[in-house]
Amino acid sequence: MTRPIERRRQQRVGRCTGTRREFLWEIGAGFGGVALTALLDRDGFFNRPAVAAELAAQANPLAPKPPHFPTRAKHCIFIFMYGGPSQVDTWDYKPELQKRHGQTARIEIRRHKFVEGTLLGSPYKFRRCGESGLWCSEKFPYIAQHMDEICVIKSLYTDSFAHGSAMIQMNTGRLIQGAPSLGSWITYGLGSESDNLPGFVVMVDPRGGPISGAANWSSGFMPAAYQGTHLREKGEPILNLSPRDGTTRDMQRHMIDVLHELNEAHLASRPGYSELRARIASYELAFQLQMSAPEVMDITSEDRRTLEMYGVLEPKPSYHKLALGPAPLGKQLLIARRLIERGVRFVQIYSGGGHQQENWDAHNGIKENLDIHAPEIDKPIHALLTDLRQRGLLDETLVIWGGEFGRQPVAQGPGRDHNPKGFCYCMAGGGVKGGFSYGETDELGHEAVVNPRHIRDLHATILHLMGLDHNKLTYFYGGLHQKLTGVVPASVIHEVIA
Amino acid sequence: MSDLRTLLRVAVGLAVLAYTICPLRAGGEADEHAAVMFFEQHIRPLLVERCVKCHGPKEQKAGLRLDLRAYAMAGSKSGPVIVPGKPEESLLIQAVRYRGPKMPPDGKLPDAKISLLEKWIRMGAPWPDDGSRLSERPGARDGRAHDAIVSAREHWAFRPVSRPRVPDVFGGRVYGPVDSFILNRLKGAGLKPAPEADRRTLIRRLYFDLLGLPPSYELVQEVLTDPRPDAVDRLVDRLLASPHYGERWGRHWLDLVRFAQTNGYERDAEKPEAWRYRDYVIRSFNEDKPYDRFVIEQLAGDELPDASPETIIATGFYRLGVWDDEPDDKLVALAEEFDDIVRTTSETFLGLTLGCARCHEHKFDPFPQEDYYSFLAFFSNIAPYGRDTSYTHWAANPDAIFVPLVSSEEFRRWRQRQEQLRAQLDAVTRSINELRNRVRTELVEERRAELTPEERALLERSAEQLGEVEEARRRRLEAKLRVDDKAVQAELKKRYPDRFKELDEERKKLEAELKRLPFDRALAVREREQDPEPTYVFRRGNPRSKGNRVEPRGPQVFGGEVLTAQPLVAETVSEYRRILLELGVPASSGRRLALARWIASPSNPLTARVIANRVWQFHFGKGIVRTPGDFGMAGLPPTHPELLDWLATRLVDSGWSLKRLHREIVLSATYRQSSSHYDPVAATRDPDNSLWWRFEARRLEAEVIRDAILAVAGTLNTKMGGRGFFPTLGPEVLATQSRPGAGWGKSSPAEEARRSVYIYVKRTLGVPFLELFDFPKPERPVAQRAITTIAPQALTLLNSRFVETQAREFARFLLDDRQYCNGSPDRLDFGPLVVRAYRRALQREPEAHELTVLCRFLATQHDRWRQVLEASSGDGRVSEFEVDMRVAADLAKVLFNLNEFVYLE
Repeated sequence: MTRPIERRRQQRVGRCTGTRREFLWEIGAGFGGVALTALLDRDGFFNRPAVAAELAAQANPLAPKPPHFPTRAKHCIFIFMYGGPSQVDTWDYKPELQKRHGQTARIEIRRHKFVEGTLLGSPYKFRRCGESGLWCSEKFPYIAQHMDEICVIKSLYTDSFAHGSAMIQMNTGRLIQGAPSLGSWITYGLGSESDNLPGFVVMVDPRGGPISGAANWSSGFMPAAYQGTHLREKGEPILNLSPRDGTTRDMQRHMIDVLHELNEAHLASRPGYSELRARIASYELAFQLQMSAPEVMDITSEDRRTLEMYGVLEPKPSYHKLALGPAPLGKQLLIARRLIERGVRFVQIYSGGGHQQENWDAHNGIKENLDIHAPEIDKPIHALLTDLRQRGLLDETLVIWGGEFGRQPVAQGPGRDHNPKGFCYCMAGGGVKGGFSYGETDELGHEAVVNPRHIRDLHATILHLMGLDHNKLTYFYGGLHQKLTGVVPASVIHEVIA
Repeated sequence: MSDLRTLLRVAVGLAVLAYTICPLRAGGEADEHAAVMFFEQHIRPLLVERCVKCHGPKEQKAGLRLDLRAYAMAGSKSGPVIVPGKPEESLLIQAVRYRGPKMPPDGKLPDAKISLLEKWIRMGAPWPDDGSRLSERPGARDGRAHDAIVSAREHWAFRPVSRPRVPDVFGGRVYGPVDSFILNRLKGAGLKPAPEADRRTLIRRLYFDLLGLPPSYELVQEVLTDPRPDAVDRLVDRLLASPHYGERWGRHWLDLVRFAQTNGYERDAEKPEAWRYRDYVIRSFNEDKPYDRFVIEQLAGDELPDASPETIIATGFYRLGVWDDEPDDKLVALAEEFDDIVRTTSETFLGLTLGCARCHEHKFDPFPQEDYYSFLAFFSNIAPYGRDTSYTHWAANPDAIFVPLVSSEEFRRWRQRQEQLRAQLDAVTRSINELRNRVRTELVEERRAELTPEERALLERSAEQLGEVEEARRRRLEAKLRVDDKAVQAELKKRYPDRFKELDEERKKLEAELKRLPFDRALAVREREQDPEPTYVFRRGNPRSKGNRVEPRGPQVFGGEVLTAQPLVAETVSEYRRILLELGVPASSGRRLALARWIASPSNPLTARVIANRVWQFHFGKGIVRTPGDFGMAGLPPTHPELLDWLATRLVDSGWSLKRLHREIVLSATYRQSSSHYDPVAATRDPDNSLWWRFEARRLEAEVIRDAILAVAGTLNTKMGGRGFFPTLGPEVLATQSRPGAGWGKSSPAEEARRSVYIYVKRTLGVPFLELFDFPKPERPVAQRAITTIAPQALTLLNSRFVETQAREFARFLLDDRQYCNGSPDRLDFGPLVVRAYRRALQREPEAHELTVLCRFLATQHDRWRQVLEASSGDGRVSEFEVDMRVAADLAKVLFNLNEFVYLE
């Protein structure tokens, strides 16, 4: 009744065949490492077939797993436009709104609260782009060049008017804090192809993190191995990566060797504990990480043309004290490309941080807000799509951008308030139908009316594009086979898939 | 009649059960498991797909039901259909072979399937008797009839706790009944227990397990050389009496009650006083508070006749959950708040996932939706956490979540003081009024003085004497002389500014003091002042769609009788509770006390089993029930049902003393087995060690690793209690916050060296050291922590600020013994250094090869550190002491990183 994995491990003990890398995989110690099977009686759990899959996964949480069905996308880069970008000023053109600028309309401004508001037309002109003729605001001249590659879903809605719960829901599918995030689900479902980098990486805005911070990339009730790892572009990319006290790399190597020797001797008198061996291996991986992590962050090896394309070299603009220009996100997206090239599964990058005008939360002025933030993403996203296409990676990389909700067509002073009833998301690459617009909001851009889709359908679609069936991707917790999409039935938006 | 038939069926079913289990047992666990696997893989799906539609809960054609073992074995109207071991005599096989009744009627089964059925019956028709129905399996749901609830009462965990006989076991180490149960099963499987762990290992095991701290070298020596036969017993008693015991075992409890000190979400504001609950838990464990009392205090400490500040703090249990102060929809958010309470209560105390029945009937367990709302009704009068501050926001409501903590003496003094204050206030008010009157008189006099003699005369004349015109004029004059309060007030400030200011400030001060309650307060439960409103089922969990009205009662599978509320009776109420009434804390419905007493009753089939299982789990790493948070039908049955029931019974008999239960377990031969023992036969037959043929080594928890480092480094600050402390977090960690550093305090180095249980638990900002070593997310109850091994853990133990600091402290200790004096040229002697370090960290002598490896390592590091320090110093000179410190710190780091250091063996 020995479990196959266990048996294999036992046979391998003391043998020295294969490369070091094979050895590490054999005992199941990727970056995410080994969640011990001691957690639960697996044999007993095989009685409950639905549970068996999760537990098998726990033997090596981040080992690559086949998708549920063949698919193109292997990686996902999610640019989270934190704060809630305005749909009617970006990709959801509403001529009727422009026409009725200054008139009043009765609008649900918060849950069950209606007001007579003054309609606020977009300060920007829109034009049709490419062969597809998709609309794009003039604020995004670079992204406008890619509309034939982009699919815009214009009829999304979500459940909360408030940032706190809306952020948590966009990331985890629930309004209540404590469930695993999208990145956790995907790395749980597919593992990672990188053995010396985290499978799920998060980068935040230089102005600050999003509200609720790390709760947004939490693994919730799953093991911490599936949690997003916060990667920094400045200083140490990963927490505690290198010694602070002056220890040189040689010295650290030596220490790890000594540990290896002592731990091996300890293990020799304790047969049958694969986790002790995994722990020995984890030091090897940690040592490798000290090379691989700075290497992936180091963009000096990129040619100048690439750096220019991403806007990495552009100085901080002077027209607004909060504006950063394209350099920070450009660098992050360039790093994101380098990460997925090295097998990282899911990269989430927060555009906008802190509060109000520091992110897309344009209460205090829609024009001011887009003047700050549009140039920060425009060139970098253009560069990412171009770069991925040139390298033949676009087809296997799903690129997504959007926020936790949209904004109101009526004015709040010079700005707009939150609006979860209708907003848009953009997707490109990874098997998405380019140059395609799905769904519509009403003529004012307030509420999704044609093909309205809850964000659980967006989640189901993202999973589907990654080769995962949202109904099959379950994790048993609290007496229930938990799903990213929750208990309300969700469906894939098949129309957006090429 | 039908009752009789059911009875008969059950009786027959049980007889068959006994028959089938025996041959399986003889073949050992592995065969039993294989048989069950066979059933699950081949037979159950077949029955579900082809039979249950007509022979299931909805329809029982020919009186046959095939969705539940007991029914299937009871057979149909024509008699038994399954004769275990004898396919040729089984009506089922005849039917599927289309000899006689042709089943299934819509098409004969393929021969392969029929062979499988035959094979299954030949095997003895194994069918795990978990009481569950086929249709409860995923993918095969259908309606649920009342009799399903009745039949689910046969589920092992819903049956009353039995009083199993301790089996007679001959030969082998039997220190107590625990060993009899374990050894009995091991022998049955042809396995032998591991030899006893060596004494040092056992001492370490007891220290980490009971206190979460390493022993000192000296103490280990003391016990090792104790010649008394009960040396270990004495040690156990000593450990159980240590205040560190509560810190260790209290932390296990905090996992179960989603303990955190903030609300979560955007603002993630503090839950003030939440730390009192943590300290209460630690105290309760240390006092060995009877577990039933511990349960009752948390659920209904405010409703107890002997309510005290302690039992009020206990009800902080209700306030620990995630709470959104800016919900999208307040009605929904309120439902979530109560859902958190239902889930946490049912999971923590009962091992039930009742929360699953919120929107629909439970998928696996016999809980219809009404059970969820009936359970919720116990709590429905709790005053919610927040009160409205705007349409979109609410704020924590102090009149709901705080209760004053006050002794009778304090209250008496406070009341005296109140009387004093009131008297003073009266005096001040009188003075102010007098002053006011004086001003008023002055003003009237002055205005009167401005009148002409004629006007004065007019005023003095009586009304009858006046004509209409004069009368009007007189009224105008009177109005002119009338001085309103506003004018008085204004003049008062002008004429007597100092005196007025003095009096006014005095008044304000007194009023403020009168209003203030100068007492400590607890984060606690309070109910709404009115009588409880009726509770309704929410259709599909939607609070805007009310269904049937429900009464507070336990789940129907346990009988489901309405539990009568137990409100306070004026005559029996404690003085403290009376004081609270006077202070405006309303009396409550008494519903929670009824629930608490039902849960904490010895006759509740779950409560004692669930906690006994948890205690076993925390000692051994795995429970007897491997799904400690789910004793329902989706959970796993116990590996040792009799042992579990024996432990549960023992717990209740001992007055619910957890310390007695600990003794029973840790003094057993089972617990004292070696963990390094390896038996290839056992490893093959029982790879998961579910029979306990050895002690299972396991990684220590995050807190224990951190605390052990502090203890070994000699910096551990054993101060107990209070709000907690904030470990220093680097800017790279704080950068993930939208306001970096918000809600995170700064603590002194001494505070930072306290035990990890006192680390402030903030929901949106985890402490990386703890999180990396699987400290659970405090959003929901966590019955069992994950144990992962990941590379960032290695980085943390090698390179984090915390480890570097503590390694240096450890180095200081190591060098201290040499009475190192600055400038002395004597060279660091590595051998004694290593010996000293091993004794301190692992309480043993290093072995020869360890000495060799480490001395060589330290010699090399010594040269390298000298180079590194020389290169970094301006003049190329280095302090010999600093070089030695660096080398000793490297030795410390090596020890902190050893598997032996982070594993409980």
